[in-house]
Amino acid sequence: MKFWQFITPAKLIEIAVIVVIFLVLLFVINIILRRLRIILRDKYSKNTLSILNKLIIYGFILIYLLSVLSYFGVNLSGFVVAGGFLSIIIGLATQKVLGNMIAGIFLIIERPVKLGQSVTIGDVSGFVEEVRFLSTIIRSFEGQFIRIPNEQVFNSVIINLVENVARRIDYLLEIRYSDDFYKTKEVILNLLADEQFVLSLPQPEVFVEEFASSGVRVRVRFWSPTEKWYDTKTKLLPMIKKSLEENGIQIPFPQLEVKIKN
Amino acid sequence: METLELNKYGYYLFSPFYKNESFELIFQKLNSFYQYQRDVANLDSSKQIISIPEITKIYVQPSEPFAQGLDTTFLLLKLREPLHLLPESSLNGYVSFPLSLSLFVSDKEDKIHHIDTFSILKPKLALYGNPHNGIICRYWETSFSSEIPDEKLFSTGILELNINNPTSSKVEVSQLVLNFSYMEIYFKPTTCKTSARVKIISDKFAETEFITPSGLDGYNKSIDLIPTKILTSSKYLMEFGL
Repeated sequence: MKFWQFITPAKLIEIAVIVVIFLVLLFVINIILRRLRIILRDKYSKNTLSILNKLIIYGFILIYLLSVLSYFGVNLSGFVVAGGFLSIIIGLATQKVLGNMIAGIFLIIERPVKLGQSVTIGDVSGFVEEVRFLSTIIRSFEGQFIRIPNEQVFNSVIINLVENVARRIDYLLEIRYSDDFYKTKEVILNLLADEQFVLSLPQPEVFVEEFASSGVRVRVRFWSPTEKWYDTKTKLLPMIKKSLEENGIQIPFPQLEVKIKN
Repeated sequence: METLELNKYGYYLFSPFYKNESFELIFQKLNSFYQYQRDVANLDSSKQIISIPEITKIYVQPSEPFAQGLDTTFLLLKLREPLHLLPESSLNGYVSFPLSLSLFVSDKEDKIHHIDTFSILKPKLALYGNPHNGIICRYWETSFSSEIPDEKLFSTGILELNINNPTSSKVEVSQLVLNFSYMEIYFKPTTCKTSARVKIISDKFAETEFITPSGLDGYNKSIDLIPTKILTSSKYLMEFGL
Protein backbone atom coordinates (compact mmCIF):
# COMPACT_ATOMS: atom_id res chain seq x y z
CA MET A 1 0.00 0.00 0.00
CA LYS A 2 1.37 3.39 -0.95
CA PHE A 3 1.58 6.16 1.65
CA TRP A 4 -1.11 8.35 -0.04
CA GLN A 5 -3.44 5.31 -0.13
CA PHE A 6 -2.93 4.93 3.64
CA ILE A 7 -4.09 8.52 4.22
CA THR A 8 -7.86 8.14 4.08
CA PRO A 9 -10.27 10.75 5.56
CA ALA A 10 -10.92 8.38 8.51
CA LYS A 11 -7.17 8.08 9.14
CA LEU A 12 -6.79 11.84 8.91
CA ILE A 13 -9.41 12.25 11.63
CA GLU A 14 -7.58 9.63 13.74
CA ILE A 15 -4.27 11.49 13.31
CA ALA A 16 -5.99 14.78 14.20
CA VAL A 17 -7.44 13.20 17.37
CA ILE A 18 -4.01 11.80 18.31
CA VAL A 19 -2.42 15.23 17.83
CA VAL A 20 -5.17 16.94 19.85
CA ILE A 21 -4.84 14.38 22.68
CA PHE A 22 -1.05 14.92 22.60
CA LEU A 23 -1.42 18.70 22.85
CA VAL A 24 -4.01 18.48 25.63
CA LEU A 25 -1.85 16.04 27.62
CA LEU A 26 1.22 18.22 27.09
CA PHE A 27 -0.76 21.24 28.28
CA VAL A 28 -1.95 19.39 31.42
CA ILE A 29 1.56 18.08 32.16
CA ASN A 30 2.94 21.62 31.83
CA ILE A 31 0.36 22.93 34.32
CA ILE A 32 1.22 20.13 36.79
CA LEU A 33 4.95 20.77 36.34
CA ARG A 34 4.51 24.49 36.92
CA ARG A 35 2.69 23.71 40.20
CA LEU A 36 5.38 21.22 41.16
CA ARG A 37 8.09 23.79 40.48
CA ILE A 38 6.34 26.25 42.83
CA ILE A 39 5.97 23.60 45.56
CA LEU A 40 9.53 22.30 45.24
CA ARG A 41 11.35 25.59 44.63
CA ASP A 42 12.51 25.85 48.27
CA LYS A 43 13.68 22.25 48.39
CA TYR A 44 15.53 21.82 45.11
CA SER A 45 17.69 24.13 43.05
CA LYS A 46 16.46 25.77 39.86
CA ASN A 47 18.87 23.65 37.85
CA THR A 48 17.62 20.36 39.32
CA LEU A 49 14.01 21.38 38.73
CA SER A 50 14.79 22.32 35.13
CA ILE A 51 16.43 18.90 34.50
CA LEU A 52 13.48 17.14 36.16
CA ASN A 53 11.11 19.17 33.98
CA LYS A 54 12.94 18.19 30.78
CA LEU A 55 13.14 14.52 31.79
CA ILE A 56 9.39 14.37 32.36
CA ILE A 57 8.51 16.18 29.11
CA TYR A 58 10.90 14.14 26.92
CA GLY A 59 9.88 10.93 28.69
CA PHE A 60 6.24 11.70 27.97
CA ILE A 61 6.94 12.51 24.29
CA LEU A 62 8.90 9.26 23.86
CA ILE A 63 6.22 7.09 25.50
CA TYR A 64 3.45 8.81 23.48
CA LEU A 65 5.36 8.39 20.22
CA LEU A 66 5.97 4.68 20.87
CA SER A 67 2.30 4.21 21.79
CA VAL A 68 1.18 5.91 18.56
CA LEU A 69 3.54 3.79 16.43
CA SER A 70 2.28 0.67 18.18
CA TYR A 71 -1.32 1.84 17.54
CA PHE A 72 -0.61 2.09 13.80
CA GLY A 73 0.79 -1.44 13.80
CA VAL A 74 4.50 -0.64 13.67
CA ASN A 75 6.52 -3.52 15.14
CA LEU A 76 8.51 -2.10 18.10
CA SER A 77 10.64 -5.18 18.81
CA GLY A 78 13.39 -3.76 16.57
CA PHE A 79 13.40 -0.54 18.63
CA VAL A 80 13.66 -2.56 21.84
CA VAL A 81 16.70 -4.52 20.57
CA ALA A 82 18.35 -1.39 19.18
CA GLY A 83 17.54 0.46 22.42
CA GLY A 84 19.08 -2.37 24.45
CA PHE A 85 22.34 -2.29 22.44
CA LEU A 86 22.45 1.47 22.61
CA SER A 87 21.93 1.37 26.39
CA ILE A 88 24.86 -1.06 26.82
CA ILE A 89 27.18 1.09 24.68
CA ILE A 90 26.13 4.32 26.42
CA GLY A 91 26.34 2.60 29.80
CA LEU A 92 29.92 1.41 29.23
CA ALA A 93 31.03 4.75 27.81
CA THR A 94 29.50 6.80 30.58
CA GLN A 95 29.91 4.52 33.58
CA LYS A 96 31.23 7.28 35.85
CA VAL A 97 28.67 9.80 34.67
CA LEU A 98 25.84 7.34 35.25
CA GLY A 99 27.25 6.44 38.66
CA ASN A 100 27.21 10.12 39.62
CA MET A 101 23.74 10.57 38.18
CA ILE A 102 22.29 7.59 40.08
CA ALA A 103 24.03 8.79 43.26
CA GLY A 104 22.52 12.24 42.57
CA ILE A 105 19.03 10.73 42.29
CA PHE A 106 19.52 8.90 45.60
CA LEU A 107 20.80 12.11 47.23
CA ILE A 108 17.72 13.97 46.00
CA ILE A 109 15.43 11.21 47.34
CA GLU A 110 17.23 10.56 50.65
CA ARG A 111 18.14 14.22 51.20
CA PRO A 112 20.92 13.86 53.79
CA VAL A 113 21.77 17.48 52.98
CA LYS A 114 19.42 20.29 52.06
CA LEU A 115 19.98 23.62 50.33
CA GLY A 116 21.54 26.21 52.62
CA GLN A 117 22.56 23.76 55.36
CA SER A 118 26.07 23.74 56.85
CA VAL A 119 27.66 20.35 56.30
CA THR A 120 30.95 18.50 56.29
CA ILE A 121 31.33 16.02 53.43
CA GLY A 122 34.60 14.12 53.71
CA ASP A 123 37.22 16.85 54.13
CA VAL A 124 35.02 19.64 52.80
CA SER A 125 32.94 21.92 55.02
CA GLY A 126 30.56 24.65 53.98
CA PHE A 127 27.03 25.54 52.92
CA VAL A 128 25.11 23.40 50.40
CA GLU A 129 24.52 25.64 47.40
CA GLU A 130 23.04 23.11 45.00
CA VAL A 131 22.44 19.38 44.62
CA ARG A 132 22.70 18.73 40.87
CA PHE A 133 22.25 15.41 39.08
CA LEU A 134 25.99 14.88 38.66
CA SER A 135 27.53 16.92 41.46
CA THR A 136 26.90 18.77 44.70
CA ILE A 137 28.02 22.37 44.99
CA ILE A 138 29.38 23.56 48.33
CA ARG A 139 30.30 27.13 49.28
CA SER A 140 33.05 26.72 51.85
CA PHE A 141 32.97 28.86 55.00
CA GLU A 142 35.82 30.83 53.40
CA GLY A 143 33.63 31.49 50.35
CA GLN A 144 35.22 29.03 47.91
CA PHE A 145 33.20 27.27 45.21
CA ILE A 146 33.61 23.49 45.63
CA ARG A 147 32.14 20.88 43.28
CA ILE A 148 31.98 17.32 44.61
CA PRO A 149 30.92 14.46 42.29
CA ASN A 150 27.74 12.90 43.66
CA GLU A 151 29.22 9.40 43.84
CA GLN A 152 31.86 10.78 46.22
CA VAL A 153 29.19 12.57 48.27
CA PHE A 154 27.13 9.40 48.47
CA ASN A 155 30.09 7.30 49.65
CA SER A 156 31.45 9.87 52.13
CA VAL A 157 30.66 10.40 55.77
CA ILE A 158 28.28 13.37 55.83
CA ILE A 159 28.09 15.46 58.97
CA ASN A 160 25.07 17.74 58.87
CA LEU A 161 25.87 20.54 61.31
CA VAL A 162 22.36 21.98 61.46
CA GLU A 163 19.94 19.06 61.03
CA ASN A 164 19.30 18.64 64.78
CA VAL A 165 17.51 21.34 66.75
CA ALA A 166 20.18 21.65 69.46
CA ARG A 167 23.94 21.17 69.74
CA ARG A 168 26.32 20.90 72.65
CA ILE A 169 29.11 23.36 73.37
CA ASP A 170 32.21 22.15 75.24
CA TYR A 171 34.92 24.29 76.80
CA LEU A 172 38.02 23.06 78.59
CA LEU A 173 39.44 25.56 81.09
CA GLU A 174 42.27 25.41 83.55
CA ILE A 175 42.33 27.03 86.97
CA ARG A 176 45.13 27.24 89.51
CA TYR A 177 45.43 24.58 92.21
CA SER A 178 44.97 27.35 94.77
CA ASP A 179 41.56 28.36 93.28
CA ASP A 180 38.31 26.99 94.69
CA PHE A 181 36.68 24.68 92.13
CA TYR A 182 33.21 24.98 93.72
CA LYS A 183 33.35 28.75 93.47
CA THR A 184 34.49 28.40 89.84
CA LYS A 185 31.54 26.13 89.17
CA GLU A 186 29.11 28.58 90.77
CA VAL A 187 30.47 31.56 88.83
CA ILE A 188 30.23 29.71 85.50
CA LEU A 189 26.75 28.27 86.17
CA ASN A 190 25.43 31.71 87.17
CA LEU A 191 26.80 33.20 83.97
CA LEU A 192 25.24 30.43 81.86
CA ALA A 193 21.89 30.76 83.66
CA ASP A 194 21.75 34.40 82.63
CA GLU A 195 22.32 33.68 78.96
CA GLN A 196 19.16 33.30 76.83
CA PHE A 197 20.55 30.82 74.31
CA VAL A 198 22.08 28.45 76.85
CA LEU A 199 19.38 25.80 77.28
CA SER A 200 18.11 25.20 80.81
CA LEU A 201 17.38 21.60 79.81
CA PRO A 202 19.60 19.58 79.38
CA GLN A 203 21.20 21.26 82.38
CA PRO A 204 24.65 22.83 81.93
CA GLU A 205 27.48 20.86 83.55
CA VAL A 206 30.77 22.01 85.10
CA PHE A 207 33.14 19.33 86.42
CA VAL A 208 36.80 18.57 87.04
CA GLU A 209 38.19 16.69 84.08
CA GLU A 210 41.81 16.27 85.09
CA PHE A 211 44.50 17.33 87.53
CA ALA A 212 47.04 18.59 85.01
CA SER A 213 50.64 19.67 85.51
CA SER A 214 49.91 23.40 85.68
CA GLY A 215 46.40 23.45 87.06
CA VAL A 216 42.99 21.81 87.45
CA ARG A 217 41.26 21.19 84.12
CA VAL A 218 37.57 22.10 84.26
CA ARG A 219 35.10 20.93 81.63
CA VAL A 220 32.09 23.16 80.85
CA ARG A 221 29.24 21.59 78.87
CA PHE A 222 25.93 23.08 77.83
CA TRP A 223 23.44 22.94 74.96
CA SER A 224 22.27 25.67 72.63
CA PRO A 225 19.68 25.88 69.81
CA THR A 226 21.52 24.95 66.61
CA GLU A 227 20.77 28.29 64.92
CA LYS A 228 22.41 30.13 67.85
CA TRP A 229 25.21 27.61 68.46
CA TYR A 230 28.07 29.47 66.78
CA ASP A 231 27.17 32.90 68.21
CA THR A 232 26.76 31.46 71.71
CA LYS A 233 29.99 29.46 71.51
CA THR A 234 32.09 32.43 70.42
CA LYS A 235 30.39 34.86 72.80
CA LEU A 236 30.59 32.97 76.07
CA LEU A 237 34.21 31.87 76.38
CA PRO A 238 35.63 35.39 76.85
CA MET A 239 32.72 36.18 79.17
CA ILE A 240 33.61 33.18 81.35
CA LYS A 241 37.25 34.30 81.48
CA LYS A 242 36.23 37.82 82.49
CA SER A 243 33.79 36.58 85.10
CA LEU A 244 36.36 34.21 86.63
CA GLU A 245 38.94 36.98 86.81
CA GLU A 246 36.45 39.30 88.50
CA ASN A 247 36.02 36.62 91.15
CA GLY A 248 39.74 36.20 91.69
CA ILE A 249 40.00 32.92 89.78
CA GLN A 250 42.86 32.79 87.31
CA ILE A 251 43.94 30.67 84.38
CA PRO A 252 47.48 29.41 85.24
CA PHE A 253 50.56 29.76 83.12
CA PRO A 254 52.48 26.56 82.37
CA GLN A 255 54.72 25.86 85.35
CA LEU A 256 57.86 23.84 85.78
CA GLU A 257 59.43 23.32 89.17
CA VAL A 258 63.19 22.96 88.92
CA LYS A 259 65.07 21.58 91.94
CA ILE A 260 68.83 21.94 91.90
CA LYS A 261 70.69 19.33 93.93
CA ASN A 262 73.94 20.54 95.21
CA MET B 1 6.03 66.73 77.57
CA GLU B 2 3.64 64.61 79.61
CA THR B 3 4.82 61.19 80.74
CA LEU B 4 2.11 58.62 81.35
CA GLU B 5 2.66 55.81 83.80
CA LEU B 6 2.09 52.32 82.46
CA ASN B 7 0.25 50.50 85.23
CA LYS B 8 -2.42 48.38 83.52
CA TYR B 9 -3.25 46.32 80.48
CA GLY B 10 -5.56 48.06 78.03
CA TYR B 11 -5.52 51.36 76.24
CA TYR B 12 -3.90 54.71 77.01
CA LEU B 13 -4.50 58.06 75.36
CA PHE B 14 -1.62 59.10 73.21
CA SER B 15 1.38 60.66 74.86
CA PRO B 16 4.97 60.90 73.60
CA PHE B 17 6.30 59.18 76.76
CA TYR B 18 5.12 56.17 78.73
CA LYS B 19 7.06 54.75 81.60
CA ASN B 20 7.11 52.29 84.48
CA GLU B 21 9.89 50.65 86.51
CA SER B 22 10.54 47.95 83.88
CA PHE B 23 10.25 49.66 80.52
CA GLU B 24 9.55 52.88 78.69
CA LEU B 25 8.03 53.77 75.36
CA ILE B 26 8.87 56.93 73.42
CA PHE B 27 7.00 58.25 70.37
CA GLN B 28 8.64 61.10 68.50
CA LYS B 29 6.70 62.79 65.70
CA LEU B 30 8.81 63.36 62.57
CA ASN B 31 6.95 65.04 59.68
CA SER B 32 4.18 62.61 58.73
CA PHE B 33 5.37 59.60 60.71
CA TYR B 34 6.60 58.58 64.14
CA GLN B 35 9.83 57.23 65.47
CA TYR B 36 9.05 54.69 68.15
CA GLN B 37 11.55 53.60 70.78
CA ARG B 38 11.18 50.92 73.42
CA ASP B 39 13.66 50.44 76.26
CA VAL B 40 13.41 47.48 78.60
CA ALA B 41 15.52 47.90 81.72
CA ASN B 42 18.64 45.65 81.74
CA LEU B 43 17.48 43.77 78.67
CA ASP B 44 17.18 45.45 75.31
CA SER B 45 15.99 48.42 73.34
CA SER B 46 14.57 48.87 69.88
CA LYS B 47 13.87 51.74 67.55
CA GLN B 48 11.64 51.80 64.49
CA ILE B 49 9.78 54.14 62.17
CA ILE B 50 5.99 53.82 62.06
CA SER B 51 4.26 55.11 58.97
CA ILE B 52 1.16 56.45 60.73
CA PRO B 53 0.51 60.21 60.41
CA GLU B 54 -1.35 60.48 63.72
CA ILE B 55 -1.62 58.17 66.71
CA THR B 56 -4.65 58.63 68.98
CA LYS B 57 -4.30 55.75 71.46
CA ILE B 58 -1.93 52.96 72.36
CA TYR B 59 -2.92 49.50 73.58
CA VAL B 60 -0.75 47.33 75.81
CA GLN B 61 -1.90 43.73 75.88
CA PRO B 62 -0.55 40.47 77.29
CA SER B 63 0.37 38.00 74.58
CA GLU B 64 1.86 34.58 73.94
CA PRO B 65 5.24 33.80 75.58
CA PHE B 66 7.42 34.28 72.52
CA ALA B 67 11.14 33.62 72.88
CA GLN B 68 12.64 36.74 71.32
CA GLY B 69 15.23 35.85 68.72
CA LEU B 70 14.09 32.25 68.27
CA ASP B 71 11.07 30.91 66.48
CA THR B 72 9.22 28.51 68.76
CA THR B 73 5.58 28.12 69.73
CA PHE B 74 6.13 25.71 72.62
CA LEU B 75 6.16 26.44 76.33
CA LEU B 76 7.80 24.01 78.76
CA LEU B 77 6.56 24.40 82.32
CA LYS B 78 8.97 22.80 84.79
CA LEU B 79 7.12 22.06 88.03
CA ARG B 80 9.26 22.69 91.11
CA GLU B 81 7.38 19.98 93.01
CA PRO B 82 6.39 16.98 90.86
CA LEU B 83 2.71 16.01 90.85
CA HIS B 84 1.71 12.46 91.71
CA LEU B 85 -1.59 11.56 90.14
CA LEU B 86 -3.30 8.46 91.45
CA PRO B 87 -5.08 6.11 89.00
CA GLU B 88 -8.32 7.52 87.58
CA SER B 89 -7.95 10.86 89.31
CA SER B 90 -7.69 14.48 88.27
CA LEU B 91 -6.21 17.69 89.60
CA ASN B 92 -7.34 21.28 89.16
CA GLY B 93 -5.04 24.12 90.05
CA TYR B 94 -2.96 27.06 88.90
CA VAL B 95 0.54 27.80 87.71
CA SER B 96 2.13 31.01 86.52
CA PHE B 97 3.33 31.47 82.96
CA PRO B 98 5.60 34.06 81.28
CA LEU B 99 4.07 36.74 79.09
CA SER B 100 5.11 38.85 76.19
CA LEU B 101 3.62 42.30 75.77
CA SER B 102 2.05 43.42 72.53
CA LEU B 103 1.83 47.06 71.63
CA PHE B 104 -0.83 48.34 69.26
CA VAL B 105 -1.56 51.90 68.14
CA SER B 106 -4.76 53.29 66.73
CA ASP B 107 -4.91 55.99 64.08
CA LYS B 108 -7.43 58.77 63.40
CA GLU B 109 -9.90 56.32 61.85
CA ASP B 110 -9.61 54.09 64.96
CA LYS B 111 -7.83 51.41 62.96
CA ILE B 112 -5.58 49.35 65.20
CA HIS B 113 -2.04 48.45 64.08
CA HIS B 114 0.34 46.05 65.81
CA ILE B 115 3.78 47.63 66.14
CA ASP B 116 5.79 45.68 68.70
CA THR B 117 6.02 42.56 70.86
CA PHE B 118 8.55 42.28 73.63
CA SER B 119 9.16 40.68 76.98
CA ILE B 120 10.43 42.30 80.13
CA LEU B 121 11.76 38.94 81.34
CA LYS B 122 14.81 37.44 79.72
CA PRO B 123 13.37 34.36 77.98
CA LYS B 124 15.05 31.06 78.81
CA LEU B 125 14.87 28.02 76.55
CA ALA B 126 14.91 24.25 76.94
CA LEU B 127 15.07 21.17 74.77
CA TYR B 128 12.17 18.75 75.13
CA GLY B 129 13.08 15.34 73.76
CA ASN B 130 16.28 14.46 71.95
CA PRO B 131 18.27 16.82 69.68
CA HIS B 132 17.05 15.07 66.52
CA ASN B 133 13.30 14.73 67.11
CA GLY B 134 12.81 17.07 70.03
CA ILE B 135 11.66 20.68 70.12
CA ILE B 136 13.09 23.89 71.55
CA CYS B 137 10.64 25.44 74.01
CA ARG B 138 10.35 28.61 76.03
CA TYR B 139 11.29 27.47 79.55
CA TRP B 140 9.53 28.47 82.73
CA GLU B 141 9.83 27.16 86.30
CA THR B 142 6.69 27.31 88.37
CA SER B 143 4.85 25.70 91.25
CA PHE B 144 1.45 24.03 91.01
CA SER B 145 -0.98 25.47 93.50
CA SER B 146 -4.62 25.07 94.45
CA GLU B 147 -4.85 28.83 94.94
CA ILE B 148 -4.33 31.58 92.40
CA PRO B 149 -0.62 32.50 92.60
CA ASP B 150 0.71 36.05 92.76
CA GLU B 151 0.95 37.69 89.40
CA LYS B 152 3.54 40.21 88.23
CA LEU B 153 1.94 42.83 86.02
CA PHE B 154 3.44 42.80 82.51
CA SER B 155 5.61 39.74 83.34
CA THR B 156 3.47 36.75 84.25
CA GLY B 157 -0.09 35.51 83.97
CA ILE B 158 -2.19 32.77 85.53
CA LEU B 159 -2.71 29.43 83.84
CA GLU B 160 -5.62 27.33 85.04
CA LEU B 161 -4.71 23.68 84.70
CA ASN B 162 -6.83 20.58 84.62
CA ILE B 163 -4.78 17.38 84.71
CA ASN B 164 -6.67 14.17 84.22
CA ASN B 165 -5.23 10.70 84.73
CA PRO B 166 -7.75 8.19 83.34
CA THR B 167 -5.16 5.38 83.35
CA SER B 168 -5.05 2.60 85.92
CA SER B 169 -1.55 3.48 87.14
CA LYS B 170 -0.03 6.19 89.30
CA VAL B 171 1.74 8.85 87.23
CA GLU B 172 4.37 11.43 88.16
CA VAL B 173 4.34 14.73 86.28
CA SER B 174 7.30 17.09 86.60
CA GLN B 175 7.02 19.02 83.33
CA LEU B 176 4.36 20.05 80.82
CA VAL B 177 4.82 21.10 77.21
CA LEU B 178 2.08 23.16 75.52
CA ASN B 179 1.74 24.58 72.03
CA PHE B 180 0.95 28.26 72.58
CA SER B 181 -0.17 28.78 68.97
CA TYR B 182 -3.61 28.00 70.37
CA MET B 183 -3.33 29.99 73.61
CA GLU B 184 -6.28 32.26 74.40
CA ILE B 185 -5.33 35.04 76.81
CA TYR B 186 -7.98 37.10 78.60
CA PHE B 187 -7.16 40.17 80.64
CA LYS B 188 -8.51 42.74 83.07
CA PRO B 189 -6.55 45.92 83.85
CA THR B 190 -4.15 44.22 86.29
CA THR B 191 -4.58 40.52 85.69
CA CYS B 192 -4.56 38.04 82.85
CA LYS B 193 -5.34 34.37 82.51
CA THR B 194 -5.53 31.40 80.21
CA SER B 195 -6.47 27.77 80.62
CA ALA B 196 -5.19 24.36 79.56
CA ARG B 197 -5.99 20.72 80.05
CA VAL B 198 -3.70 17.74 80.23
CA LYS B 199 -4.80 14.20 79.58
CA ILE B 200 -2.40 11.51 80.77
CA ILE B 201 -2.12 8.63 78.32
CA SER B 202 0.55 6.59 80.11
CA ASP B 203 3.44 7.21 82.50
CA LYS B 204 5.47 8.56 79.52
CA PHE B 205 2.82 10.19 77.31
CA ALA B 206 0.27 12.96 77.74
CA GLU B 207 -1.86 15.16 75.52
CA THR B 208 -1.90 18.88 76.28
CA GLU B 209 -4.16 21.58 74.92
CA PHE B 210 -5.01 25.22 75.57
CA ILE B 211 -8.73 25.81 76.07
CA THR B 212 -10.99 28.80 76.67
CA PRO B 213 -10.96 29.67 80.40
CA SER B 214 -14.14 29.81 82.43
CA GLY B 215 -15.48 32.85 84.37
CA LEU B 216 -14.69 35.52 81.81
CA ASP B 217 -16.99 38.26 83.12
CA GLY B 218 -15.24 41.59 82.80
CA TYR B 219 -12.32 40.12 80.86
CA ASN B 220 -11.18 41.20 77.38
CA LYS B 221 -9.59 38.82 74.93
CA SER B 222 -6.07 39.60 73.80
CA ILE B 223 -5.53 39.79 70.08
CA ASP B 224 -3.92 36.54 68.92
CA LEU B 225 -0.61 37.28 67.24
CA ILE B 226 -0.32 33.81 65.75
CA PRO B 227 -2.81 33.39 62.89
CA THR B 228 -5.47 30.73 63.48
CA LYS B 229 -4.38 27.48 61.97
CA ILE B 230 -7.00 25.55 60.06
CA LEU B 231 -6.77 21.77 59.69
CA THR B 232 -4.13 21.39 62.41
CA SER B 233 -4.74 19.97 65.86
CA SER B 234 -4.52 22.23 68.87
CA LYS B 235 -3.36 19.24 70.93
CA TYR B 236 0.27 18.48 71.59
CA LEU B 237 1.38 14.95 72.32
CA MET B 238 4.14 14.85 74.94
CA GLU B 239 6.06 11.75 73.89
CA PHE B 240 9.42 12.31 75.56
CA GLY B 241 8.39 11.93 79.20
CA LEU B 242 6.35 13.82 81.75
